[in-house]
Amino acid sequence: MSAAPKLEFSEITETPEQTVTEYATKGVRKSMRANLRLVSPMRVQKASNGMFVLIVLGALGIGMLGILLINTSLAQGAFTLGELRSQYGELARTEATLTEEVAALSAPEALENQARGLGMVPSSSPAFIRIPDGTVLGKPKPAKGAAIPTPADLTAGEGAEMAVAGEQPGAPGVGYDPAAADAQANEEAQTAGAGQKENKKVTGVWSEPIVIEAKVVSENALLDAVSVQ
Amino acid sequence: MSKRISRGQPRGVLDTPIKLGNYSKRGLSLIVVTSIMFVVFAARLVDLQVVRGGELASAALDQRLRTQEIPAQRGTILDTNGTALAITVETRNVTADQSMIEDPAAVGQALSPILGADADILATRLTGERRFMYVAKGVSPDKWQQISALRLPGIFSEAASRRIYPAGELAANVIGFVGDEGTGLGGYEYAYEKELGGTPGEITYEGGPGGRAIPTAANIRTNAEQGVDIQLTIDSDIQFVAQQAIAEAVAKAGASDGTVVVMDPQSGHILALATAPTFDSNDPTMSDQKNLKNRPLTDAFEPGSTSKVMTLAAVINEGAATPYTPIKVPGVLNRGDKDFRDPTPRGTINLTLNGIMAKSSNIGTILAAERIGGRKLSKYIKKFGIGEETGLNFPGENKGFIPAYDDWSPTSFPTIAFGQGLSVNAVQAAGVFATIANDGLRVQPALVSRIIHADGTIQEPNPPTTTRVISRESAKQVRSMLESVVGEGGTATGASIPGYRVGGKTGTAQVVNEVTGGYGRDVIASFIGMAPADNPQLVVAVFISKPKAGRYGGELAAPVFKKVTSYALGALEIPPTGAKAPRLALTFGG
Repeated sequence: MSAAPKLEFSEITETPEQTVTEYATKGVRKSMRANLRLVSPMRVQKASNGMFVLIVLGALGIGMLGILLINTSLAQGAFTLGELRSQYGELARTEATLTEEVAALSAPEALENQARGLGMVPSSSPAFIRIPDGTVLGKPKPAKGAAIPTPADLTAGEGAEMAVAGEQPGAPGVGYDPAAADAQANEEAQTAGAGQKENKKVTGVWSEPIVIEAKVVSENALLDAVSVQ
Repeated sequence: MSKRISRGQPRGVLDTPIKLGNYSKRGLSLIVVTSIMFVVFAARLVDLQVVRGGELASAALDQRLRTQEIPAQRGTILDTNGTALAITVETRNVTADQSMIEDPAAVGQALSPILGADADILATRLTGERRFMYVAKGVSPDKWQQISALRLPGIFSEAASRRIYPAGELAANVIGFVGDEGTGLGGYEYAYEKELGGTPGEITYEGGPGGRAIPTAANIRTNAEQGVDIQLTIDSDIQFVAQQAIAEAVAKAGASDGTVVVMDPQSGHILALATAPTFDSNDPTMSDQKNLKNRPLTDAFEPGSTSKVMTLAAVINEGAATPYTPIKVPGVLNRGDKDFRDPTPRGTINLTLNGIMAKSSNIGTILAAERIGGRKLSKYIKKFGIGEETGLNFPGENKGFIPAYDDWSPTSFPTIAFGQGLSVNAVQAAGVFATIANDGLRVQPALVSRIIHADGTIQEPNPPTTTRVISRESAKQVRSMLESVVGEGGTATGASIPGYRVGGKTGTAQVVNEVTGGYGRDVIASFIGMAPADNPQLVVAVFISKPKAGRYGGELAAPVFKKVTSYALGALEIPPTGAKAPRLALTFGG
């Protein structure tokens, strides 16, 4: 049995310069040759059964724990989401209510009613005061005060009574007599108007055309709408 | 026993040969049965996975998939100062699952004070076996909060929204209104439905049996495209004053209706577009159908004397006359077999062109127009924008009418010269004066100043188109003539505003009787003016239709003009120029 391999081996070694490797890779270029060597037979390691069970159990445990954690965090997220949603809903509701309220209050009709409630009346003739020299632009006239509804609660008799009692109305309200206030305002405005006219003549501004750019006016806030009353 | 086989038995030990036939038969049948079963299973598997695979998978997904619409918030309509004119607020619709309610009467009692509805009516809506029933719609979030705090079984709510117009009637004719579904049905709510309404989005998700979304499953979300906000050129305050003034004047004169247009001649912006009677956008069904329209744009009428401004401007611009040109005006003028007269019968008078404007002489205007002829006159009227859409993109606009020159009858020329036989809408009529106010350059009017997108980007409209109608110098001359109308001896002294230079023109146009087809007693009294006349910042046009008490523009419309213009000058902080008005002669000779 052992003779034949020997024979074969000896056949190979007939050329002493050639190693086994060189023989195997004969005809292959030197640079491409793999560096082959003999290895010892593979050593099979037997894993112990106990170790395997532990690893599987460990993986299972980690998996379960992971699922638990994910579920917990999802539930937590859901709670937070629900909470924020209801908070958002509440804020949105508040905002909507307030928006509606503001819009209703800032409507011109509501503003007018409030202004009238405070005893204000619309001005019938626009006029402006130019601040640097006090020139009055436009012809101010006292507004007609017949529309004041505030003292409506009081009859004329009541107003007169209070006036007799010596109560001087400081502001529209109790004892305020619109007719008297109008007359007074009228008088004041007329005196003021006369004064202004004189003033204008002295400065000589009025006789010349005054060119006022509306832009400049608003930018420098030189002019302001004035309530004549 | 003999059938039993022992594997380890040596062959030679048995006397009889082993019968392998039984074994192989059983095994074979087992294999066959198993194979058949596998084939059946495989076939079923192929059927489920391959043949009907897609269909079944999608059916299963459909069971889990839920799609919910994400409503788009309707845009706000604002005035030029940012005051909200139309807003959308969140509301709740209260619903009931009748099958869950054991004591409808008690639930009705509990809801009644919050909803402000009768308990018995509520109870009937809560009684029965229906799983879904509306109890109340458009309930404010506050009230729903109170209801939900009661924890009534079977009472639920769904999100809804409601369009509200905080200022009610203010500019209702421009804004329009929405229907029950929240879509625009009139005015700009209708014209800009697509822009205001936006596009609703939707979310598609996989839900569990309880309806809750499965968190890890994919969901497809298309965000809603919110509606844009539209900012109008309307100034709420001026609009309010104009609406009040015209409503008052219409009531006082017993007129059928009235209109006010306030315009900034330089930008073409319409600051107020008022009409009376009007309606409340919150409740359009409460008003007469004919009051829902925007008369300043949807109604065309014969302009009458205010149209003389176009004729005389054309005459001046053609160099055929100046404001001082003397014209002998007879008492009667025969043209096209028809006698034309001035409103007040008189003999021949000597008027300047300026006097013709101030006295609003029909005959004088015809004579002046004859200096340029009908072809040129028609060209000018068209250039002033008559018979052409205003460009306001308003639904149902009536663009007015002027017959083509070649179709004019012998009486067309004289009547068109003084404002009959052609029709205009109120905005066009105001536009003629705005052109004069803006030195002869016609600026296309605008009602929308900008569009604000949901992401905050602001879209400015294209710059308005402009048309040169008459020269700067001609416009200036026409303006000084318009001042004579308001000045002493003019037809509209009631329009003057102390301290300001005001120019304008009255009109008392005859209205075609719809029954007889001829002119009746009915008129449209008008006044269109500008202030300050030497540097016009405002053009205000007032029209009062079919008045019963009073007839002339100077007596009915001029006071409305004065009221609105006085307020607007103050509100917009337009000071008087301080210059003195020229006194042009109205007559000549003796």
